[in-house]
Amino acid sequence: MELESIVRASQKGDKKAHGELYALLHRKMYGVCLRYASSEAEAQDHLHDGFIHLYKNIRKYSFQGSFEGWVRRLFVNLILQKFRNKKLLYTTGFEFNETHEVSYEHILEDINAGELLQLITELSPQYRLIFNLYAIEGYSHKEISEKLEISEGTSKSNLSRARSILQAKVLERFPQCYQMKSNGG
Amino acid sequence: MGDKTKIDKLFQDGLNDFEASPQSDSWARIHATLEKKQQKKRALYWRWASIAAAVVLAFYTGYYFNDNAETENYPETINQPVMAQPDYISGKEKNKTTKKEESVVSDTKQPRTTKSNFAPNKKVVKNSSKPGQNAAAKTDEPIVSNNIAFAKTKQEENAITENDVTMVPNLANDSSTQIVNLEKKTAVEDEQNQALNVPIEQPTTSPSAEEVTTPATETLDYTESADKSKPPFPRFVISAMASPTFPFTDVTVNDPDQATQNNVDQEKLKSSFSYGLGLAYRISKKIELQTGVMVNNWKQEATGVRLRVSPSSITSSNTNVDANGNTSLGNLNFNELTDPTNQGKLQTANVGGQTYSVLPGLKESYQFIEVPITIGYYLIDTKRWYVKANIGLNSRFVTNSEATLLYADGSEVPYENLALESYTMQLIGGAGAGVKFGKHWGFGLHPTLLYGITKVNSHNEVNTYFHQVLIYSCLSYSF
Repeated sequence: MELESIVRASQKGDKKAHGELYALLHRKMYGVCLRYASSEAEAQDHLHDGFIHLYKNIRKYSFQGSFEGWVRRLFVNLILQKFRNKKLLYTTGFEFNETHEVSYEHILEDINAGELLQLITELSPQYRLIFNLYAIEGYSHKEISEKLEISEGTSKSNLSRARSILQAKVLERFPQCYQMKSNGG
Repeated sequence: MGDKTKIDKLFQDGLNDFEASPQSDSWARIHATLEKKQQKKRALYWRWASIAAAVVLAFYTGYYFNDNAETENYPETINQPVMAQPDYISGKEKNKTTKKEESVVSDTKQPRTTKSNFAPNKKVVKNSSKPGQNAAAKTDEPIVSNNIAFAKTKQEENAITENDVTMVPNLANDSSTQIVNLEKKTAVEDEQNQALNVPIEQPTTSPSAEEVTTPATETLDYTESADKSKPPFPRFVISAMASPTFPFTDVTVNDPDQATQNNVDQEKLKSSFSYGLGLAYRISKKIELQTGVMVNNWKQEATGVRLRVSPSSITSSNTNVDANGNTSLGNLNFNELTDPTNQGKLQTANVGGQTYSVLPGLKESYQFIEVPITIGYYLIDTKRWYVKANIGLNSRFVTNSEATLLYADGSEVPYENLALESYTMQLIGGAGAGVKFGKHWGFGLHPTLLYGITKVNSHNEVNTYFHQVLIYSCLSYSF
């Protein structure tokens, strides 16, 4: 109820409500942005643009379904659009084998999540996008192919490649963690 | 496969609800952008409101002056009758009627003082037509035109006498005191009364008072005949126009990357030129509709254009980088460079920990075809000179775009991906003054402002509105 009233106020352009929405959502959305970004600076840009996009489009929210889920999709779609516009997608991906310069340790409470994030960040942009969309957001290959304007086959092969890379890195760097999760699963 | 879905699950579990804190100034930046957008929105409302107001004003002005121009003709043709009327009533004419020339003078003055008395005017028409015979040689055409109008057909003559007839009852009813005065008048007045008395014999057929008080149809006749008798002013004007251009822009940067702001700040607009053909049609003496076809140019140069390098370093497996930057007119994208200097063609800079490639120089040149549609209003228009103002909208089509990259090694390479909007619109307004040579030719100077109301660039990081001040030299031929 509290959230609904804030959203309604925000829909009317209430700046205070904008601020409250930011306070409620910014940590989660920054988590989403980090997953899709190559660097912390890029994630900050995504977060900034995402909230501006949210305030611009919040009137479209019709109070059906989870608001947080709706905002998350809004952010993800915006990030995809930015990638498409900037032509940062590669038909053939490449991967980083060396440790990325950016470290998230100082901002992460959950070190395991931070390590996982680090691995995802090291993927090439297209592998990272497709892995995020499929494995974490739960999109199908068909949806991904439409969103990224690629073929389903490319989506599948890129996902497969991303998984292989991640698996190799997990085994290499965090054998215990992977083992634990693997056994647990 | 099982392992791979476990990988999915590992990451999903670990990252699906992952939260992190952004930099502390994150909200401040968002807030600042919101404020900026709101200001821009307000500016945009004002922009459109002012355009709407200008267009409405232009049309209103057009109608107003157009109507006035027509009504201005009415007094010239109607006045004659109008004037004579009060003369009889006031008695002032007594003395003047003895001198016909004087009466003509007084005729021209009177309409202003007696405009409201239309009914009596009719009677005057008849009366005035008599002295009009003497006054036929007088300088003012209204009398002549009245004669023409009166003499048109017998029917009209009858109509007029009928009107005259009605005037008498009107006078009798409306102001007996005036009639009393009339009876005391001079011999001239007696003649006039006689003239009035003749029609009095047929009062039963006289038209209603309404007809008497609404001379509109007659007025139209007069106007037409007056127009025919006057030499028409030239309706069409063709002008050859040329001007230097003094450009200025209104640029808003939406990109949080400071490099974009730096790039925009680096840009220097160059003066250029515009030329073309103007066409005008005068719908009245005061108002004309104007259009034309103009060629216009826009040139600008930039130095030290920053391009953000992504990823910021080359690794053993990553042998390619992209360098992307924004200018006021578009995105500069260099993909899959083997190094941030693009093999010595670009320079590099490190600003705030971010690596940038730096393009040493960028030259841009655009050509437009423009079609303005404006309303012009002549403030002054004499035989020797004119002053006019105009306002309207200008449509601009991009016909040629040339962008050249200046590399560090001195080479110049064309770049074709800076796409402007192919169509933009400007508010156009200005004034002009000039002299006339003979009947047809004129030469004037027309300071003009072209104010962009739609943005010229098609990318999202920057909003650029392009404006120009021009001073057209204008050689015109009227016919």
